[in-house]
Amino acid sequence: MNRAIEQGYQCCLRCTRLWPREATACKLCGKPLHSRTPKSIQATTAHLITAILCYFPANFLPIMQTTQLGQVKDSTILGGVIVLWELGAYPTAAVIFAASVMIPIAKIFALGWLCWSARFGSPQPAEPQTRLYRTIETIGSWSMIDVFVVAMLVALVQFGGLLTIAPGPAALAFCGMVVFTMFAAHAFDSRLLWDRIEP
Amino acid sequence: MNACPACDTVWNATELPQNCAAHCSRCGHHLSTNRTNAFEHALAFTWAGLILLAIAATHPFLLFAASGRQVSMTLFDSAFSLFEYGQGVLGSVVFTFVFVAPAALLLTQALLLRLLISGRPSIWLWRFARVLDILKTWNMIEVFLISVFVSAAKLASMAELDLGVAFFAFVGFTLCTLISVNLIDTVQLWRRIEALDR
Ligand SMILES: [Zn+2]
Ligand SMILES: [Zn+2]
Repeated sequence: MNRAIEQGYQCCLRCTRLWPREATACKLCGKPLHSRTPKSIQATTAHLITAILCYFPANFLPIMQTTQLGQVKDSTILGGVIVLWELGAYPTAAVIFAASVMIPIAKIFALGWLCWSARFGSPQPAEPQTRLYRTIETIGSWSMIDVFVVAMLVALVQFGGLLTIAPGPAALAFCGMVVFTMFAAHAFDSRLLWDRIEP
Repeated sequence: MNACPACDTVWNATELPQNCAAHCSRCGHHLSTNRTNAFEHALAFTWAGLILLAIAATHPFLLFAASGRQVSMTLFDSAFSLFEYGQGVLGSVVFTFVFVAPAALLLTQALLLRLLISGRPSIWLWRFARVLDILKTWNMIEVFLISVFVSAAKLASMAELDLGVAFFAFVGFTLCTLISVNLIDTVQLWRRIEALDR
């Protein structure tokens, strides 16, 4: 019985101050007030679907195009990891594999599972689920590593006909996937996870 | 009174002693840290960050030599060279995340903290604090720093890579940004603004 909603209050998500249930906007910071973010699960799901649609072109289209002495070579994210591994750069290969292949899809599945749990209930306790959500929110931007690496390589490797690197279509798709997953995480209201335990 | 934004549990921010951190009793979420002189320290790091950013933006960032030719890039080139390949959208996004968002973040922070420390009530306190809240979410400067290291590792096998002045300035700028952002506790910031408004 120590939750804001049960005591007739609502919490501002920006400054965390409590206001009576009738209030429409926070008097301190001006953020619109809602006891629970309206249509949170719908908005999260919509952003997740967009992120999944971006995941496929991001991984199967070339992320960059290397031109060496007239020879054009397309490389995908997974291909880049394999090349790094064969060169012996194991830590770099592992970082890229985790940040670009594993984490994005794990984040999408985890958020989907949290939406399902908030909507239909789950045998899992709410506390680890909230912690999972906080983790997803904090690591949100780390998947951008690959996009920034492509930007750096394109800027640096410019040797005319000898060797040039151009960005591929997957770079934008990848960027879209990361940004839409971040939107999905922001749209999710983790307080919904606690409501099904003490309605 | 305040509530935990993660699970809605009520707590009282006015009862948090100096130099203590509060965590939610139900979900463990970090609620607030009440540091002495946090805003004064944050302002110092913000100014340092702005000066380092000015150096980083105007000097060569990385120098790369292969087959007798040398290419030097500035911080802006990482975004602008994408435009040359028709990737304007991606170029704008990278430019926003790497340069616009952190520069705007530090500028807003400097103006906000100056106003806050001067102790005069002002409508701008509220406006700057709102903008800061949005910019904090889209600041990816530490991610960019790691990608610089990854690109350096990728290129080191191809040819000679030299670090420019801007590179070291950029590392310092990233550290100053991270420290100042972490020193400004959202709950304490709004409590201070509320106290000034009265
Ligand atoms: Zn508020
Ligand atoms: Zn909590």
